[in-house]
Amino acid sequence: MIERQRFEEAEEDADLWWEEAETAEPEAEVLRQEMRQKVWEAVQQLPPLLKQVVLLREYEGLSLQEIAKITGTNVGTVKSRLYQARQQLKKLLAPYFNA
Amino acid sequence: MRCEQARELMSLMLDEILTPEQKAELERHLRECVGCKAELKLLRTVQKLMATTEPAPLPYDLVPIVMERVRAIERERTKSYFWANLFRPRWRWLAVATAPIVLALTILGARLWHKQPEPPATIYWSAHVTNAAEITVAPELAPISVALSSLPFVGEEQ
Repeated sequence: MIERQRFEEAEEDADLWWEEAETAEPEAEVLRQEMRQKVWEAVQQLPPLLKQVVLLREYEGLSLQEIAKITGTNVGTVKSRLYQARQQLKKLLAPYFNA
Repeated sequence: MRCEQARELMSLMLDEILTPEQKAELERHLRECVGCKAELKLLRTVQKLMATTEPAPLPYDLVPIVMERVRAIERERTKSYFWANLFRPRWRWLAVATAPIVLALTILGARLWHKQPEPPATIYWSAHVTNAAEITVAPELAPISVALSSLPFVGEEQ
């Protein structure tokens, strides 16, 4: 549910090239699947604490409060780790996505 | 606003926890900064890809592996529970009650051990002895030897 809301909002952003790909042909799905694989590999390279929050937030769609409870931290820490994780993912994936 | 700040707000934006003021600030920055705009696009793309990733199929032997792990943890927990709680108030009576019993059994056992009949004293007896005075006894039995010497001599073994 959380993801769905997030995506509906994201879909409003018309200049997402990924969105354009979504409406295209089956080849686009193959491409997306390949990209998912790349992202997954990048996530595996994150340090354990950052990987943990990414898995819970992005793949499982849990709220920040839920993640704080599960990891025994507070929302501030979760936010900070998500920020660090996203910065690292950006660095890992930028060469691939900009190519 | 500097890009560094904008990045932090972008992360909050992806989690949908921006305040209206922060959102306005970020949007203002994004209109001016092409780099940050591209970065947000990338992050959103990645976020969407992650959320639409199908869960990987579970390995067929996952259940036995997990159950074995659970049992191992349970065993470990039970074991440590016993030792950790032995001297807790709830179980202290057991320790207190057992201690005197163990002590009593130890003392009793020690006494019985010492009361075991000693082997009969060795009397060095020779078949050729013809005189009671020639019976030699172990030195520690010297008082008995005096008594023996006063006995009438029986003689060689029948």
